[in-house]
Amino acid sequence: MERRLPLTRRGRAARPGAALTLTVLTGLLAGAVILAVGRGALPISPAQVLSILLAPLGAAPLAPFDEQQAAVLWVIRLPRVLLGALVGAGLAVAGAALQGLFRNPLADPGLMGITSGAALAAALSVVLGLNTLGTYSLPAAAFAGSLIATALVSLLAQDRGRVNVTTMLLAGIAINALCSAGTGLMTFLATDEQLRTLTFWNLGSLGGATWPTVLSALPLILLGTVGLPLTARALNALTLGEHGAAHLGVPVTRVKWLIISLVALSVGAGVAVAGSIGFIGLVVPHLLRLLTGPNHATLLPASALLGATLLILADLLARTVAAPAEVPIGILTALLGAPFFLYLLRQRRAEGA
Amino acid sequence: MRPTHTTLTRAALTLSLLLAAPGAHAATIRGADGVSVSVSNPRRVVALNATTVELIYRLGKQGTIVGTDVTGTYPPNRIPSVGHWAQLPAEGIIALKPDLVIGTADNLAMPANQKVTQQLRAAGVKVLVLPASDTGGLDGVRTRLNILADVYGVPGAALALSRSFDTTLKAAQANRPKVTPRVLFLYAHGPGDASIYGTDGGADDLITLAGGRNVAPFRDTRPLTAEALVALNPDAIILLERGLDALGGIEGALKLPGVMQTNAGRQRRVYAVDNSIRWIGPRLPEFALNLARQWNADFR
Repeated sequence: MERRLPLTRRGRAARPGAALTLTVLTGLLAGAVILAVGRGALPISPAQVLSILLAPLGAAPLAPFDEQQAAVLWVIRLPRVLLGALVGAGLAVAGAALQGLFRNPLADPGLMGITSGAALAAALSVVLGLNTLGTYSLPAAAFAGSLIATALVSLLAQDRGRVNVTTMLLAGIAINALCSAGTGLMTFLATDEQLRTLTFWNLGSLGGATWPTVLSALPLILLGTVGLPLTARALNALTLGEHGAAHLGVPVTRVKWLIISLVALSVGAGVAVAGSIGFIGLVVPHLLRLLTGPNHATLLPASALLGATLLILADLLARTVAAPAEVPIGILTALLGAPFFLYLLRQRRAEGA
Repeated sequence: MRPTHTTLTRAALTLSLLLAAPGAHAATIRGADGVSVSVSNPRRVVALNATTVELIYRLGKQGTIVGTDVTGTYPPNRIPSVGHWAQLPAEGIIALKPDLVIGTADNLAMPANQKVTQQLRAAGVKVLVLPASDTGGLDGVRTRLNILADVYGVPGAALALSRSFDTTLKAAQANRPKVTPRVLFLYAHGPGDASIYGTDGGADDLITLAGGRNVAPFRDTRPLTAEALVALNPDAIILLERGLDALGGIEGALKLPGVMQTNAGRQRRVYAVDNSIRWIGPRLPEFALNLARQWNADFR
């Protein structure tokens, strides 16, 4: 499954330069933000959006708007779009980094027990009624669960101070199974209401976005989104294998720990605020590797940009397609992501890869 | 109240209603969450929860309902739904341009919904939280009814409805079975998947009002095991209408593991009640009367 280096790829047009790719993706993200901010169950025209956003600066409105439109934009829609961008960027960049670290294109945050650990902790907090943190009890539990599961997998994969990536993969599978069993036990013990809470949490949603939610996730996800691209050189070196990377002067063990920690933080925070949203972390890096090649210096920031864009658009779809009701976003990312992923697989076979 | 007194009250109420000019009704109502909401003739109401919709219908104000959740299907209507009660969309609700959102404490307490109430209020939408609709029995229904009557300024309609509850309940009492049946309420989705409704909530109130005794030894809802069913040995089994449909009628219900080893199974005493029973609504007395009549015929 190893991707070939760009030099050996035949029959493919020259790839766009890194700068161009990143500029285009930034443009796409900006477009998605503008589209998503302007559209929703409550109609707010582009001119009104602009007027509402500029109003606090004392600008004269371009178009008349009512109080409620302004309130919806500031209180509900803006934090929601921002949260979508953060979570999407966090998931995608984490997926790209993990695929590089494992040297396996199938690696994604779910593989390391991050999601199932979060799900187990969420289930525990709901069923056992751990409410000490009020509205934040469930997200806090989910975050703690994802960190604990990741830490456990990483520690189990330790071999004399070094992280064995293959063992980590297997440990991830075992921890996933254990967490699923725990979650199963909790659903067995759950009341009808608790069961529904768990179901919806598992389907994911950005609907709970408020400014405090955004601010609580922001530093953690930003840490991953900014920090992981800084490991790009090391990840590139790791494609030669750990020994090869070490010969190039990369402090392999430290880099591995750094990547695992950053991934756990950003994905854990994302899962905590939005529930489990699949396929972004798997599909986005794949798609970009086809477009920009395997150089992590481009791949990681590009993944963050595209992940943000796609999750914003998926959420836009989720909240408009069945308005005034909402479709859980996890359903949409899987529904759109899985067929696309299959298409990518077929495409690679056709190329003779 | 004495009959003459009643007539007088009614006359006074009618008079005061006639005197009140349209648009003049205004009230400040304290919600179950402690937040007071000032209302004056709401015209666009998003009524969350089956029983809220039903109560507003009974008050004759159904014309004000512009949205509900998936449960608000009775009486049959074409009110747009904002989705599942366990996860409500803030912007979807606002898009219906309500001047008042009425929910119940049980549904709005769902973790995903706690933020929604905050979001709605932050966006300047009034949210009135009624007491929980899954506990409190008929007294709870009356409390919610009176609050809604305050919202719409129609105390007369609430009084009339409350009286009709009393009449129906009396009839149910008079029709109680001679022998108190030992009852189990099964919540089934299909063959091989059933739970038992515990001793809290609407199912339990229904059993008591109809003259039965709930033999479930716990609260909440628990998965059904065949052995527990046999050990509890109910004389009567109640299912939701859709549960009975999913099982394929009484014959299907009798095939659930353990059912045939109970008195209820041997005597084919399986009863169906309305799907909305978990949310205790204004039809509870009717449901109780129906059930009491059936039991009266079956348990002598």
